Amino acid sequence: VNRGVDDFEAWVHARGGALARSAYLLTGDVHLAEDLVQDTLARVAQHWRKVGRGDSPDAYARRVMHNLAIDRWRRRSVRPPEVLTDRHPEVGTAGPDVERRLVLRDALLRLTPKQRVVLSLRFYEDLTEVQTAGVLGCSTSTVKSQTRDALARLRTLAPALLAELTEEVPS
Amino acid sequence: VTQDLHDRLDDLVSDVSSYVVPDARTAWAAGARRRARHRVAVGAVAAVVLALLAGAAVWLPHTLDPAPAHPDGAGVDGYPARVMKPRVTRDLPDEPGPMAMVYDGPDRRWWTASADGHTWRVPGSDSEYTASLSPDGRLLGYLAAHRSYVVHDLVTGEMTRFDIDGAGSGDAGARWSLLPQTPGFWSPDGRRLLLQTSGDIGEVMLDAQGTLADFGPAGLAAGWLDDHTTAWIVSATAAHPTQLVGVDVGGHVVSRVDLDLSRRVDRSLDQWDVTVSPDGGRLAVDDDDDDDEVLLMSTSDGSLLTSRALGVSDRCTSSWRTGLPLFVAGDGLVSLTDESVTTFDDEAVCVVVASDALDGERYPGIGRGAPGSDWLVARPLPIVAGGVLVLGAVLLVVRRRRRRLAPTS
Repeated sequence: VNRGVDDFEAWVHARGGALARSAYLLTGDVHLAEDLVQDTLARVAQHWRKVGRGDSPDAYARRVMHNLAIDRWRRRSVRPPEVLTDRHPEVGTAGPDVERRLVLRDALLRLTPKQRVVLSLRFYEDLTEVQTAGVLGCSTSTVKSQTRDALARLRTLAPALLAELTEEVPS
Repeated sequence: VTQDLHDRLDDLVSDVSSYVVPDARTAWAAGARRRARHRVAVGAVAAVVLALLAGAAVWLPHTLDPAPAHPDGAGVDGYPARVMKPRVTRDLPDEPGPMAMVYDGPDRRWWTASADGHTWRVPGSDSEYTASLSPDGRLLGYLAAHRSYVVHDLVTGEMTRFDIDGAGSGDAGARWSLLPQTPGFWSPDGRRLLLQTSGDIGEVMLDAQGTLADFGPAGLAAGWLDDHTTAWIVSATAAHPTQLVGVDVGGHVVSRVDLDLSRRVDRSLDQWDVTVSPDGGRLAVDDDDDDDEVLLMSTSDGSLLTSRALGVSDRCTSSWRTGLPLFVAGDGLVSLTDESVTTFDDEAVCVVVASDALDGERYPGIGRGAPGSDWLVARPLPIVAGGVLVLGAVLLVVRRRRRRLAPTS
């Protein structure tokens, strides 16, 4: 058991930052991201004996986190979203970079959770359409349509920031 | 495009790791709790499923299993209050145990029903030729495939075949040819069966040893006065009124009793209109021409004991209960006092009940439930409802826990 805990802690130490960044992209809030990361880690720990043996904890954690992010949206009627704070120190305090980050963050939050998840997997995690479909358990055509819709919406929500993005979406 | 968006997203989250710090120890403990809860939930569901299966195995009817033969070879000890429409057609096995009744089904075959309501089709039978059940419900006699008459011991599985061909055999030279639409009568001790045939021989008698003998008094067979004496109704002549004639198994007349019957009733009698009670003490006469009145007469002196208007023209049964004849009316078997004895989901026109069965307990349906309660209400519905409630409670608890443990949105 101790070996398992040690291995798990070592893995969290190595991958915790990446998980936190992905969680932030999916939630747009550090507190919600922290909850999402902890829930993800709890599920990984639950199955650590299986997933920790091979080289699959990263893939498993990615799958769990992105699906949890969608599940949280599905449960929105059960527990309404909480407004934790208006301040977002994680994006900085002042300056044009901060403004640009806030615009992108707000635009991301106005996507549907699945669109947000697809964008995160495709453009932040750099997964292919096939890999993204595998994570979400859907077809590649669904991934394509979700990606297309997400980019179109981003261009509408943040035209100045993303004007240079073209219609073409790489596979 | 990919790289550009990637860079912008990377820039957005570049400082997040300073604010979101994973807690591995807490996560590990939470994972352990989840594992434990999962095991408990799996165990609980398995226990509930096993309990439901065990309950179903114990309480639900085993419609595909034949009832076991009575261990000591005793006869039938009751009869069903309701004969349900079988969900699966099953042929009568060799050793189903004693039966309570035999009745004609909608498929023009004979069917048997055990005391607790299990039903089987009699293979090769034809409801045009009456089947007969011995008083103890062990011996079933019927014409098989229009070729031979079979006496089937339902406890041992032994089958005795008699060379009696039916009218449908097409064998004009047959010595024995069973008459359709005529009742058969088992002796009270279940050792002999009186049948009526056409051709040279008027009546034949089978005995339990597997022998067959011609037996030819004139008149309508009405049953047995005792284990060795058959009862016959002989029509009135100029010399005597309608008579109840006792004939022993050797064919000798041993008694004659004048019946208190009018000539009009005498002329209207047919093979279904006369029946002697199992104890030989009473004779029931169905007067088809007078509001379907039933006359109960003494077999000792021929006097009229009582009469009752029945309103049913075709009885097609020779069964008695508590000294009164039974009739098929409406959706089942009723007594002379209109008391329901057995109801049938499928219409049954002809029903023959073992006399010992009618002396026993009345079972409410499939399974030996408490008499007087409907089995459907008394047993499976509460079990199913209880199972559903338990399962619902488990699901509710699991769902509430999931909600409580769900991440904050």
